[in-house]
Amino acid sequence: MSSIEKMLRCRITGNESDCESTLRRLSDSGIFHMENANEGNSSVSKTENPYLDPLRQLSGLCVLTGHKFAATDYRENDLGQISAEIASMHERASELSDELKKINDQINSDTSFLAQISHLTGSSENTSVIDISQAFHCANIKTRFGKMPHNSFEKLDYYAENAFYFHEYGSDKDFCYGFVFTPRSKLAETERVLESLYFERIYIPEALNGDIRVAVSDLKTKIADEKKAAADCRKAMEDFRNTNAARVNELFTYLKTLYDISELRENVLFEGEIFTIMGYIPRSAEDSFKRLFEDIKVDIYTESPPDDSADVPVKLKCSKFAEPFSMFVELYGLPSYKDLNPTSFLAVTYTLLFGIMFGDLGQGFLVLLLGIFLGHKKKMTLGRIMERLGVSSMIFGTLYGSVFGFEELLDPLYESLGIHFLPFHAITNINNVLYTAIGIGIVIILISIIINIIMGLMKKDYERALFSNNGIAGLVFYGSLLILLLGGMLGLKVGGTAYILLLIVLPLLVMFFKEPLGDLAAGKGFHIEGKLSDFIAANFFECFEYLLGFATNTLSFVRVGGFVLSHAGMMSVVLALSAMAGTASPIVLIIGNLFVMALEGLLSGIQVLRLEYYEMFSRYYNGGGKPFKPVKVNFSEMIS
Amino acid sequence: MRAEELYSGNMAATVAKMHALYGHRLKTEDYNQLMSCSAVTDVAGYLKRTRAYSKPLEGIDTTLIHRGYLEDLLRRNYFENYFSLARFEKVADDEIYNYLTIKTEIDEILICITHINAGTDDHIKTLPIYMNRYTCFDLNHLAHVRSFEALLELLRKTPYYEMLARYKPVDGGYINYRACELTLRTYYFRRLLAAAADLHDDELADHICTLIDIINIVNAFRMKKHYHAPPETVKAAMIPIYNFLPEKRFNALYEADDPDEFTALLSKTIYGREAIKEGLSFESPESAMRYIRYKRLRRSFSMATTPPLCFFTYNHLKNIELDNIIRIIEGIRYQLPVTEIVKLLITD
Repeated sequence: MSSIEKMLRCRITGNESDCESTLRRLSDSGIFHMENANEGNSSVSKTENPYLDPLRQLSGLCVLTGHKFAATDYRENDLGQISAEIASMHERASELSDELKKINDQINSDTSFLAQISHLTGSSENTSVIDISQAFHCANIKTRFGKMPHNSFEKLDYYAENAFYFHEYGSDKDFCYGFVFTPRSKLAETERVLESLYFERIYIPEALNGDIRVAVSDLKTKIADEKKAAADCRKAMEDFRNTNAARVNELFTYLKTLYDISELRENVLFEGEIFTIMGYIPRSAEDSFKRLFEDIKVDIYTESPPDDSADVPVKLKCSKFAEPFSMFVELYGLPSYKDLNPTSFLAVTYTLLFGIMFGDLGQGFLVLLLGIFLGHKKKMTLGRIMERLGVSSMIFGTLYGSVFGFEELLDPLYESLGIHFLPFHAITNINNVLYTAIGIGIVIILISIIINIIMGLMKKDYERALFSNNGIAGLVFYGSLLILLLGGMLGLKVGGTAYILLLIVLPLLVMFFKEPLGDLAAGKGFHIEGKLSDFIAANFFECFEYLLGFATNTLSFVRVGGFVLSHAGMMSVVLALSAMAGTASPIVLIIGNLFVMALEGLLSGIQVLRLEYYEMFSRYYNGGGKPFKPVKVNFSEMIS
Repeated sequence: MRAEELYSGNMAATVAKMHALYGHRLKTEDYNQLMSCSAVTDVAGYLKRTRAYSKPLEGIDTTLIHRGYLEDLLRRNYFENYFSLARFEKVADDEIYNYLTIKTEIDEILICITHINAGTDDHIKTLPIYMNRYTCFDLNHLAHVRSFEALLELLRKTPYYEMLARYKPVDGGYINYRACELTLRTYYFRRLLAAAADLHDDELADHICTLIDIINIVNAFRMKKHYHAPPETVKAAMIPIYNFLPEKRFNALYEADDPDEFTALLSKTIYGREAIKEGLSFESPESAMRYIRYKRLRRSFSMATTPPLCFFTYNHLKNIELDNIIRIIEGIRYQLPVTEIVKLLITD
């Protein structure tokens, strides 16, 4: 078991004039977990952060210019001056942004109009071109240009007798475009029919005269000019961004630091001229922490937190091997300060079970490489976990003699070494694989119960340590039952009335009465809460659930063996497909291996995590700890 | 195709495709968003952003769309999806996959009769011309029909001719619309039931029977409530196919003195008990019946493994969705409050 970092409760008091520099040092230290010294003091009101407005404007400037902020060094600035500077930069960026928006709106509008009037040029080279001025200025004929759905176009034949003519000029997926000609006297009637056909009129501007192809060409030129203007505007914005990037970074770093520190003042208790800050630091860093404040007049008082304190933040302390696995523990919930840190146990069992389930020398090596890439290049914790899992997979792959699904590849090696019991081919030893999986499960469950007993005793929780299903009663019951079953399977003479009464029935009765017995052990006397009948009914079903739980939790580990077999099975399918693929055999082999690797790797990872959480953590671990969060400036958070 | 052939790999793909498509259906949250729209164009805009309706509305400027055109597009999309599924994996050989074509033919013939009786000539406005390639008569010609004789002439080579010829009015009088409708609808359902029997698909037949029962219950209730029709008039207007409710039970409903008695009798039937179990109000028996049918379709669709049942239930569920959208559009157009629109919808 790993441990939990020992903490010291820390109280810092000093003169108000030193408050800001104290907060800055706390923020820079990276080891101070701040508590609210005002807790319970309702008279404290939140004051407006003076850095909020300029910071907000600066964030707005970054959004407008597309600037990606990076923290940098800074020097002290006057708030009034930098506010004016930011306002000036924001104004310029807004001007450029507005101009760009205006041009883009114009481009969208012109492009949309071009799409519509381009149908006026006709659908083919042979289509006659209408002179717009002539079409719209006939003495007795009214002209409408527009579009109608294809479905309506198909209905036009029905209106052959009506006094209008639709001249199709082009079409797209949904609409037919064209002119409608109708006598002036019949316009109202025609428009009624057109409305029922969902005809949408497209208004042609007065300026669009003469040959429509020329007009379309002019519009295209205009759009091209507008696009050039938009590009110039974007270039101007880019230049502006690049010119001011260093200054914006400096201002942002400065303002965000002051903003976050100012926010911390909320947790500071002010009594007259004196301020008080409360928090926690790791015991191991006490000296270095105190040295940070040598040159300012503050009193730092540290003490060990009381035993019963539930508020102490938790920082997990793990070995280098187990450290990335703390991610899984945090996912479940941190242990409380007085609990044991389960990370090492989780790391060992997770790595072992994954290796057993996903044993393949070649695929394990690829998982290792992927893990190195993700862990070191991308700084992903999961990558570091994959490194460990990859190695485990390679070890078990070597034992199984499996290399990218080739189960006989390592046979000559073992023969040359004279090791005859290896490699262990899972597919020909199905029963052994399944029995071993259950055996591993039994060992892990027993260890989990023992951990729970130790933790219960450490916390002086005797009900948990002695009388519960995960305490000594459960351990004796489960262990004795297993010995009885094993003896029966091996034909050994185990059991007898005394054995059953003392080692099976008695622990079961102890589990049945665990609550009153726990009270008795705690010195509160043996008494049953509520009605006796309710107590019996509730505990009967609880005990039944324990029995069921022992059986199902043990059998749950069969999945470990199941995955060993499924890996061998799936790879044999890949090899069979590869053999059928002829010249494409290597490709099938590569794709098959990648597929199996991705699918099985993911499934094994999830299944092992499930075993960890449900079969192990549920026996000895509660979570509910408070994470250790040192105060620091958060540069990744923008203020909008 | 026979029942034993329905479980092949290709068929499984068809079923899987329909289940995948149904995943894109409108959910309660979508309906809430649609009902909160203040204009039809907003409805079109919202639909365009959903997975199910983005494609049919792809090239459409939803800010300018006409209500009628939107409804038209949605209906056409429904038809196109139907035929695309029917063609998928060549399942369209069975009669059951043509049910929408037969239904459309009958619907359009009945609309044409209404126009002849009313002396109007604008059937063309609502005609689904895009269905012309599937129907057994020319829909374009149907738009030009102005008399029963012309209608019979158009339908001469179709099964509808024999059925309708006997209703030819004497001396240019009105056509007996109700008799025509009953004959055509009965024909439609008998054909569907025969198709289900051919497939040995009992569950599919059950759905068709439920549909008939519910149509009869709803129509009888309307006739009782709005026209106080006597039992014999009601019975004469009903589809004479009895399924889950025996004829005796239906007769009792027709003989009810008022809508309250009708509702009380209905609550003792298999549908009424189901409605009570679902916690539905009998304030509107129509809604309750429609909801029961919806639930049955949902249940069957989720368990369906055979393409005909899956196809039938899926398309009916999509049809309910289409009706819901159109009700929302109409509700917004007529400025109904959301509390009223929601009563018109059939959703989870």
